[in-house]
Amino acid sequence: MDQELITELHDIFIEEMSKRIGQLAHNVSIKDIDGVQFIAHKIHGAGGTYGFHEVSDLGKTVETAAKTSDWDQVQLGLCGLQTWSQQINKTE
Amino acid sequence: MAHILLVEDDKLNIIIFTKLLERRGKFQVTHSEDPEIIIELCRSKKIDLVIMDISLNKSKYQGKFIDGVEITKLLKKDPATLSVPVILTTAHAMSGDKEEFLAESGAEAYVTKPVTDHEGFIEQVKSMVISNKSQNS
Repeated sequence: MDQELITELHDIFIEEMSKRIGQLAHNVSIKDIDGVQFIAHKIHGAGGTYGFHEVSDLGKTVETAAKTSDWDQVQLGLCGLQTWSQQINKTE
Repeated sequence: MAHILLVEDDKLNIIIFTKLLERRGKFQVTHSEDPEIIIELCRSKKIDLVIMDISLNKSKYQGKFIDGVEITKLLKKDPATLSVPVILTTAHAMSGDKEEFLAESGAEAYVTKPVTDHEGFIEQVKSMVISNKSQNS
């Protein structure tokens, strides 16, 4: 992991990921399962590349749950992402 | 300086892959999601390797949405572009996906996202570029 690069791109990642989590929450609220799967896939694909493995794991959880329309698991994953977002933004 | 074509639609991945390739790989990097431009660049012999995201959501070819597997198939069908090595990238991680995507597309390699081993990724790209250059010289 290129720590120097990760540090440099930290703020960009936090800002963009917060937007994605917001979009995910919106898609969940309107029961847009395709939209949920799409955003979750993007979250899963990017998080770990920036050193935030838990974000990728949660994104994968939501993506997998969306494929079977398991809204309970989708909601759980979303809560995890929202908690992460709140905590990371508190420390900024 | 070797020239990498990055085909990716995710803003975060475009940023980090470009910076990794430029700074750690010392590559020239061009980004495009437009299949016409991708094909044209590869035909121009200016591209040494393509990093191809499978899940593209804005790319259209001849009026239809197209993904990275389909773009790779186009490149591999064309004698003018088939020798350009392609690394597929995706967060799809179901068992068997990798082999299926490689077999269907004709791509040379596959990297699973998220890319957590940055150094390994750059070394893989370097190795494939060098190998391709020596095969074609």
